[in-house]
Amino acid sequence: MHTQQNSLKGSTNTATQSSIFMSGEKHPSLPAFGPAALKDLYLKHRVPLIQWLIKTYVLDSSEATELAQRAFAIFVEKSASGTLPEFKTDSNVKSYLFAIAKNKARERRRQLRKVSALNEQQLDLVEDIDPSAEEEKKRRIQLASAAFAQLGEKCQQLLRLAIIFKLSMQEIARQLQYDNTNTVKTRKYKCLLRLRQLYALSNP
Amino acid sequence: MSEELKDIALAEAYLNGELSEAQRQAVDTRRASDPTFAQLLADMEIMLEGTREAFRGDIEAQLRELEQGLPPVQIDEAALLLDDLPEEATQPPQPPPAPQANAPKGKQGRGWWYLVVAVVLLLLLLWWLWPRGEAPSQEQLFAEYFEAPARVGGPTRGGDELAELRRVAGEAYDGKDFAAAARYYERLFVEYRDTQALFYLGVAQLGAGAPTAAVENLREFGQVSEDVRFEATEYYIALAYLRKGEWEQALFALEGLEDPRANELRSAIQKEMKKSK
Repeated sequence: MHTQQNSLKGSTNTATQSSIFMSGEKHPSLPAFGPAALKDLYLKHRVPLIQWLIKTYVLDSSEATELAQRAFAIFVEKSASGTLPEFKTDSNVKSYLFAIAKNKARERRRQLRKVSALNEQQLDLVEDIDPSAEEEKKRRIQLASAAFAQLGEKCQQLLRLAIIFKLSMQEIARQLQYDNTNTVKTRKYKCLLRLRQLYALSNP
Repeated sequence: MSEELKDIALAEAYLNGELSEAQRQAVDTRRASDPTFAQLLADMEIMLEGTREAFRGDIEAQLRELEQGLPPVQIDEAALLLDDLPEEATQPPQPPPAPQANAPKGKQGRGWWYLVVAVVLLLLLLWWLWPRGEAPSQEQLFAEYFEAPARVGGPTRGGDELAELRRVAGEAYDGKDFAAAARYYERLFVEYRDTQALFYLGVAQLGAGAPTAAVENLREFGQVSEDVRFEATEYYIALAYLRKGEWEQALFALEGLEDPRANELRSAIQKEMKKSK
């Protein structure tokens, strides 16, 4: 069974664990992941990460802050799903965050280069050009994300626990107080069906 | 469960890699022959990723809100330089004192005052310029921590020009003839767009005593390469700054690295900086 307590697999550093996941707080949408823990993590690494992005990728402060926030969000998501590598010390956490931010900065640079590679004539025609498969996929994911926000709170919670936190059906039934795992399964697939319907409405 | 829900369950299990090989093949076969099911699979992939994206968006929204109460992070190059100056040099210029009614008048009184100021300034200048041993310690640290990393891939065989160029570059690099290696690696990058060559070009330039060019090429390698040589690249950038005597920049490059050697170097630099202050 996956729980947040084992998100930092095998970590021996109590400070690292407690600073992120073992605060004992409950957040309505993020079980066992308190806003205070997120704040601690952010405040601890924010300045060096943003400064490093500004220096290394010649960004202004707001661009670097945006990228850093993206890196934090990915870090938290990976942590929630238990896909982070084993961290023995707090500097490992920092190093991993920097690596995520680096990938995001490169991705951003690639996109900018792609745009700047188009000459003016091509830019005039840009509306007629089909977006690349990658961009199209990103657009669809954004639509699905917006559709997710339209789901009811119960559906959102259930899908978050199942897809992000990868909790077992038993654990979800316990947390959301469903009678049995069959109910959870059916609800989950109904929520996905509803999500697909909402998505289809925004992407005819 | 209805057939539609069963298909959603099947699609999710398929996308999460939870099916056996036989089940996967059955899904692949059905996808090829059933466009409705193929569309469901494609949509489900987007739904799962959309859910993750919504989660990330939620975290980012929380951080944006938190950021509003914080001062923006800036890098003030001037402030970094001023940090190294004596305290009085960082004070804002004071307006000249207002003339006082009972102040001594005449050229001689003012002359003494100018002389005192000149002596103080001269002493300050001497103190500032007095050698404190940074250069030797900087060189020692560099010598202690610089070691060209072994090449990945080993010796190159083959008869074409590219392979030949790689071979001679590798040989020069392995033989620590860094100046020659830098020339060959530069050609590999410029003529053949070999991005891997940028890393070795940077290291070779560093070994050949050209830290400024090394920083540029290692930075470029960091930006164009898709591999995970992040730690090594930043480590050699730090060494290049160290060679240039830019301690703060060297520390900056070492920021966030977890390699024990990088940590040792960071501590050694901090120690030297403390000593020189």
